[in-house]
Amino acid sequence: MRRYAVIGLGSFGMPLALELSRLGQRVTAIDANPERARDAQAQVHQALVADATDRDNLRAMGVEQVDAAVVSLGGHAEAAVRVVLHLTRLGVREIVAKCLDEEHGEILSRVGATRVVFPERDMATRVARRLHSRSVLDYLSLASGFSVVELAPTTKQIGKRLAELSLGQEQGVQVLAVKELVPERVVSAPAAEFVVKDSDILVVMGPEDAVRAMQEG
Amino acid sequence: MERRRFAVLGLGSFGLHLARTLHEMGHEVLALDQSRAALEAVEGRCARAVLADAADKAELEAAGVASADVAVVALGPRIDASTLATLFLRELGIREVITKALGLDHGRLLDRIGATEVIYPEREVARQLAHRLADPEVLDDLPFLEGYSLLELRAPEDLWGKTLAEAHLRRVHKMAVALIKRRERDREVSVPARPTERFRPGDVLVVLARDEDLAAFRQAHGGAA
Repeated sequence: MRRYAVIGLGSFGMPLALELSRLGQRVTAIDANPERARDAQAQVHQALVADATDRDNLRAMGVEQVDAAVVSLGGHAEAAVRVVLHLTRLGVREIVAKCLDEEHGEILSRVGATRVVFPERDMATRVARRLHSRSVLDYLSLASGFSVVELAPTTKQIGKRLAELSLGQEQGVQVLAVKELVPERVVSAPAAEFVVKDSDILVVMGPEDAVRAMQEG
Repeated sequence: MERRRFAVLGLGSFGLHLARTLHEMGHEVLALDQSRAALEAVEGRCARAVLADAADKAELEAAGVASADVAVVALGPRIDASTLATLFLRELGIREVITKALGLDHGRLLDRIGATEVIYPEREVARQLAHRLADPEVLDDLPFLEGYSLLELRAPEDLWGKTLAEAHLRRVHKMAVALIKRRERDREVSVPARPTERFRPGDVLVVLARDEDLAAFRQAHGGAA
């Protein structure tokens, strides 16, 4: 179990705090708005009402002892920068901050955020990739240039064994799982002999370029 | 590639990135916003940018939205506007309408009035991040493959020298190796997971697995990783 401070309980911070808690982590949830803190109270280790832009408040709450802090202060770009700066000075090792645009993200990194997230952009990219091709049902970009796509098989692929599909295996593309519809179940790490049905959904992973080439082809 | 027609209503962070990305991918994008400043940000980066109120059906029609294959509604903080826009787009006969929800209740309302898909960008990204933070080995959990996560494992000693095919991770442990991270001449390199690739001491494997399969793997390989 690790200790976290989640600062700002809006549409990002709140689900994050609750999910961490659900995963068994010790979460201190902090917001200047008493109503939001109250909403979180029953589901986290501790919920506090405080202005986190004040360094003394952060220290009083014992924030320097957490393993990671997450800062998401909605539209308050400057407040987020201040809080990240305080956390950096307090010696918090892992600081995740939500940014409002690319420049804000760069500032946050410069004052010590170890990871910057930009949910609106990340989600837009994911939706765009999926809309790009009808056969792509979902798309996820992973660490280190890899991506995972959920694909409906093309008519040419139906009835073939996985080993016969030219997906770019030599570039490291592979079928991670097949979602079967009837009966509804997931076959993970399917064997090369698996025969593709028209109701199947393939979950395929590989280097970004190879996956893109496969979608275009 | 099939060129598709998209209408993107609302050019906040989400709508703007979506419109630009679809345009870069070669699709025909009609972008709509009530603010001139927002439209300037997509100028030259989409097929057409139109000043219009998305909550006004006549303005939507006049903008030519009805010819879109897919419409995406991302109207920022106004629940009424995005709800009305979703309704009008369906009435105009657009088959696929994807709407960004402001909260769970808004999402339910959107479902009711015919949005074909409701998305919650902040919530989804927040939940992914929670999983990564809670287990530092987890790189990502896959939202469309529930119960699975992508994680990093140190190659257990008894696999050193074996090839990926010989290790039978797929057949025995239901684990798929995505890639191998390896230090070569003081640089970290990513090696594709080809069946003929041999594990070396110090290798870190990026694998997709279910929690229970992972536990079995760790037990079988002497609690390594």
